[in-house]
Amino acid sequence: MIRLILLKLLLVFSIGIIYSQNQIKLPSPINSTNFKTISPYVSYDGNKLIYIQKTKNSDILVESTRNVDGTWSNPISVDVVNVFDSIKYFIQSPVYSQDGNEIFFSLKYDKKDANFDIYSVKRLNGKWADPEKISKIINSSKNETDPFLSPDGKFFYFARNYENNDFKKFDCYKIFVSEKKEGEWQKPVSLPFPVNSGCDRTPRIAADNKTLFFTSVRDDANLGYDIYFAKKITKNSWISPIPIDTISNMADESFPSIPLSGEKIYFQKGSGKGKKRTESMFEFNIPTQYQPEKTVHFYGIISDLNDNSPLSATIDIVDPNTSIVLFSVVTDEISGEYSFFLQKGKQYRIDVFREGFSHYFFNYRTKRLKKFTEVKKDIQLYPEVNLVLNVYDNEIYEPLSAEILVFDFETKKRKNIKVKKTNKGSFNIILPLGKKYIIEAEKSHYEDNKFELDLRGVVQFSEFERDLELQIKKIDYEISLSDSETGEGVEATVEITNLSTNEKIFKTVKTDKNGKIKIKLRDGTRYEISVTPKGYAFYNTTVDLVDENAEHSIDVKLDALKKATKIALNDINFEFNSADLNKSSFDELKMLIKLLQTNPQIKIELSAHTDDVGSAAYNLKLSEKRAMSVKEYLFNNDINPEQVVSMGYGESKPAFYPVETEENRAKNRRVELEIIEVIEE
Amino acid sequence: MKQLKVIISLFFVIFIFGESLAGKFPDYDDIYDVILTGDKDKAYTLLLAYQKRKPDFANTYFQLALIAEDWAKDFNPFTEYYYAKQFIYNTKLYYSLAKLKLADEKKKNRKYYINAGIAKGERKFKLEDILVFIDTQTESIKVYEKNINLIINNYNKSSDAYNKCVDIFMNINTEYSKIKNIYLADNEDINNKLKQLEQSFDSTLVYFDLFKSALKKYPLEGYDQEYKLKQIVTYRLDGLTNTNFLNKQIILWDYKTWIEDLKKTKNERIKNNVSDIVRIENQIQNEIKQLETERYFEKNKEFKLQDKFVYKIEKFDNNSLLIKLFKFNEAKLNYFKFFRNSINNPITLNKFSLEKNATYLHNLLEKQQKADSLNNIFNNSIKASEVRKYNKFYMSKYKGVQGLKDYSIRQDIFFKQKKKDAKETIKKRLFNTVFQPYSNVLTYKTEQIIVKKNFPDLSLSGNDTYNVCDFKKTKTNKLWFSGYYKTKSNKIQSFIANSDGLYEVNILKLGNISEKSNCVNLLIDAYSEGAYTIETEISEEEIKNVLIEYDNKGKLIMKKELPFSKIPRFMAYDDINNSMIIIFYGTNINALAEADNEQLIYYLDFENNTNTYTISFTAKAYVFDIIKLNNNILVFSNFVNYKDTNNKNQLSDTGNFSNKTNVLITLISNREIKKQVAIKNKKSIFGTKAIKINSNLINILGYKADYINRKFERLKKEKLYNIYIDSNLGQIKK
Repeated sequence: MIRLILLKLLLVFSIGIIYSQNQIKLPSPINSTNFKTISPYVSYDGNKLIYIQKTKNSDILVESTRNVDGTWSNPISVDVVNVFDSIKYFIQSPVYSQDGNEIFFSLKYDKKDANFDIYSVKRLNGKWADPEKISKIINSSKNETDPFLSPDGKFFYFARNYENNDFKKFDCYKIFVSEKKEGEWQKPVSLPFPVNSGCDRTPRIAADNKTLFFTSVRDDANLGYDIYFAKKITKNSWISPIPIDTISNMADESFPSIPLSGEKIYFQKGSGKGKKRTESMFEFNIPTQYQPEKTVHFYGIISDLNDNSPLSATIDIVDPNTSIVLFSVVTDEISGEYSFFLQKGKQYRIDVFREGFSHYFFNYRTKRLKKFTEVKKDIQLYPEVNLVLNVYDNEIYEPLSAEILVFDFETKKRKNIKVKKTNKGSFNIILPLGKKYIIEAEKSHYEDNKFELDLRGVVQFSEFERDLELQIKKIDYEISLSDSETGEGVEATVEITNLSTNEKIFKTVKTDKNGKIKIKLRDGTRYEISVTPKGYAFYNTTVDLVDENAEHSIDVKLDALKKATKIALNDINFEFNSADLNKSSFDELKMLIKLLQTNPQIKIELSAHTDDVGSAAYNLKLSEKRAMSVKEYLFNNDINPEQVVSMGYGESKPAFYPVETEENRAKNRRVELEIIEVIEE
Repeated sequence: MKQLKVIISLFFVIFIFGESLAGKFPDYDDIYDVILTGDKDKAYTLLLAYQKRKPDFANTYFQLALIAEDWAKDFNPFTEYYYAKQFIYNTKLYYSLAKLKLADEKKKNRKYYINAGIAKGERKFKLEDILVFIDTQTESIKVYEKNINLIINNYNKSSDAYNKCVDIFMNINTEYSKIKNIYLADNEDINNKLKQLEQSFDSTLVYFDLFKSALKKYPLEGYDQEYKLKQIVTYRLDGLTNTNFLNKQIILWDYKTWIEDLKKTKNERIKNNVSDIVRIENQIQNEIKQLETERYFEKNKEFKLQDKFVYKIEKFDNNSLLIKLFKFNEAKLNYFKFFRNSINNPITLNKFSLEKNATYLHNLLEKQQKADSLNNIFNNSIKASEVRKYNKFYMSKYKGVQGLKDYSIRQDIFFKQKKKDAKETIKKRLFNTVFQPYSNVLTYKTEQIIVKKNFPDLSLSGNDTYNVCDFKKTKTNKLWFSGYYKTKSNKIQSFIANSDGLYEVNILKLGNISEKSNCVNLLIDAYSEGAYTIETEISEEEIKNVLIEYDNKGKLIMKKELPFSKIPRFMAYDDINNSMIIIFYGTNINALAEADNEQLIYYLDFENNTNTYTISFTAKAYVFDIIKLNNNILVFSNFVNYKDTNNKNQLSDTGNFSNKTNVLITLISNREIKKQVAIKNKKSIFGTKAIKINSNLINILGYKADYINRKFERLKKEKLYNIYIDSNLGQIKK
């Protein structure tokens, strides 16, 4: 036994000589001759350090941050822990949580029979809240210390003291672990032998959630504390711990902390005895065989896309094959910052979300991870989306200016949501997430149409588009043509033009023998109906189905083209004091041309009449010129000159009396045609 | 170096003579007790540690195998497949190692095999029993492994394939912000993605069925999933989430139907649209090509792009480049059709009046403006992303993006040329109308008369010649002309004549002749029944003017002395109102040489003398036309200078040269000058005719040339001056 001890001492000493040259003592202000550096812990990101400055009279918990140049800032007292109670107390073993927003530590009041219990203090809204004791299931009547929360937040490691006769001169502890299930910490279990085999404490589980570093005294108490390394197989079964012999030497090494990359270890080293005892903090590059498995560190900020303000959001790390949420992380409310680790050899789906906001998904594979990787990813979520709604006529695809109504699906009540018309038939609707809506389009003369839009689930794009087609209502329209004298039905071809689209929709629709026809017309549309039957005067009229009270039938009385038939050409008019035709005359002139072409057997007299204003001679001349003007137009459009005679009658043949009224004057200013001859075929 | 040697030596010493560094370690009985407690975690850890110390002890492996076997089946193969696999392997490994080491197993160690239940109820069992047990368990774990692998592999393949679908679909949604862009996309990339999506979805369902078959053969408690398809309704909202394949009912986005619907829309609606596009494009281009054969038509039906077609295209392609192209082509075609109207045919100069031509030119320019504007809109919209939507069409018809840009630029040349041609035609008509209606000569008895406008140079005229000063054509094509006859004895006698045809003079009436004075009919205006002329008698002492009216047969209807002793420069008869406007200016027959600057405007109402009036304004100006507009009278002059309504002197921009003029418009209303507007230009403008296009638009035609009195043929070479003004005398840019 003695031989063994001697040999071990020799071995350790030798290795210690070689490797201790690589241990770097942290400079001031971390280490100082004015105090002992106790229980140091470096955060996962390697940028924060927490430890206890122990002097003769006090133990102060301090925090230091890493400067840009790699040096450490002057430590600041963590007052929320140092001065939170008036009763004197001792603190030990402070550590950060993985995201640095919580400090766990153990505390014992300076009272009789008091024991160390584990406390935590959380950083909320950028400020430290008051410390609180953690779960009763962890803190017992014994001393609990050396708390440590696994990076996934699912396992809580700590040390609980017990009597060990083999290590009487040490305050002995065992390492325990409690698992979180359904939000509650379970009864802690001790790590099995040989993990716990001496006095074991300061458990630190690395970012890979498998590699455990801890401090232990085992084999021979004279060798003091050393830092050990063990790996978890599964659940609570472990591969036997190995001392990190490249650190271990005659001094006490304890309180290891291993930041993210897993390549460096920080620890406390105590040497000397009694008054000459020093405790300092060191750092060391861990040999590869002791390094935890490589991980990927994701970090960044979640913010609101609308105003860039930081958001408190949840990040679920999911196994894509099973959809099981492996663990979740919540961002800081004030800064929106997040941080988590992914282990090597898997694939993950990361889902970032917040109620009432969009989701953000991305996949990540770590199967071929060769080294520690940091990924910065800032993510923006948004609370509303833009729905581009296009409303069309489902027959002719014309975009429609409809009224858009938005209803809450649950309450069926109309929502006061702004609908912005961008173009004819196109609307932008801003809809808050987290609700289901009914979107309805209404337009007169169309059947209403609606659809449901469920925004309660996962939304990943801030804009999408929907088309909504409205069905035009159809009206059964009846046209009857009959002879104005005999009342008999007239067979003829009816031309129906949609005046909105200028489309001849019925070109050659024939009435039946009774002169009737039924057709379906689009509601809310204006049509021109024209008939030019052989042997009859032409007829055209406008049917306005925009008016809800419009008739749905028309009874046309056609005048047979006989000698002495007169037809008023009401839409033929002229510029003032001129024989120049107005533009508005041309439609009627086209009808007249068609009449003459369809009925070459008739000869007409085109007559122009004036009112009684001005001299008779002037009126006569003017009317003659006007009649001539119409005649010239007809000839220029291939009408046989033989068919038309033009006459100006001036004011001599008024049709409406009394002639002095303005109304009758307007009516007397007219152009007419009279059939003066019908050649029998 | 010496230090190192020492250390290495010490290493050997320690490892040769030293005990395990583990120190105090439980013996196997203790470990077996832990095994019997059922704490597998602890037992497994201890066994592993013991195995390192005593690697030949068979029971270590046996016990490790038992625990591994339990764990292998304990771990959920779906959610903890890694561990299940690991412990299946460990089970096989440890059983095989146990079997290997059992050969050396001591009898006393049999007690450590009891917990396996090898020989039920019997305490004593043989080595062979253990071996059989091991073989049985090994076989059992292999069966388990095989079935689990089949189930999990198919499960993973199905879920992997489905996750791939989601990824591909997300990729498509990211690249194509609207589904309509996919309808119109026809490139390898999107086609590949759709194909991959389809294949991945097929794989999802195929592997799921295999997974179900495997589960049926080897059921796992709690797992009997079924899937249900969910329709993708809203693009960019639906179809983007993964699903939990562990749920009893798995909801799968129906990518297959989505792709089918997409293809249907592409193959039906889009394809139809493309057919229509090609058809209409061909129609337009064919018609344009036909119009290039230089035929002219009396009537040409306008081409109209159907609204329904436009709507159909824009439904899938909002703010479509294609529609912009078509609207421009439509405007271009209709412009070209209109251009080919016979009125624009330079050989039909006599068939259409100048007024008709002016209206036509105005309409043509409006159509051109519209086409230009549409061309600009089209040009500004040409982008590669737009061209990709109907890539095949644009490539085949226009050679892609650059081709479209070139096409747009070429239109400028097209329209410029057409505008130039149209202006040439109206210029010819203008000359015909104002200066020379025929190029052929009329015969009167044996005399030959060339009918053209000409200010007289009495000294230059030959003896026994008829010299035309002015002419007018009626709507019935009767030509009236007037001037003077220089007798054989050098006397100057006024005459007036008319002609129906192109060669002979019907009537010629000689007017006054005087020994001491020259009588000329400088001006004439005709109407349907006859004509008016002013016989101006010029002597050294005075100028007399007599207004004379003849009917179509040459009979004298009226003679009226006019109370003005200035040279008449312009006259216009209003046959509807039976009134006359005559403008007098100066006493020198050559207006250019005239020093006087008083313009007299005489309005004569034949019906009611009380309406007759005279007004004047100060200007060195040469009146070229008068128009009645909405009861106002507009007088158009070529001016050198004038006094405006504020009595201020105004000069033309060409300086103070009597032959370099700009255009002045004087508005007379209620017998007074209401407004005067000068249209200034640095170039000299020779205004020639003003035409009323409509009640709010007047076209001023002329030449960009100096003012001349004679040899108007020179004007044929000058550029046309063509401007438009509204009823407020504001100039309208065309």
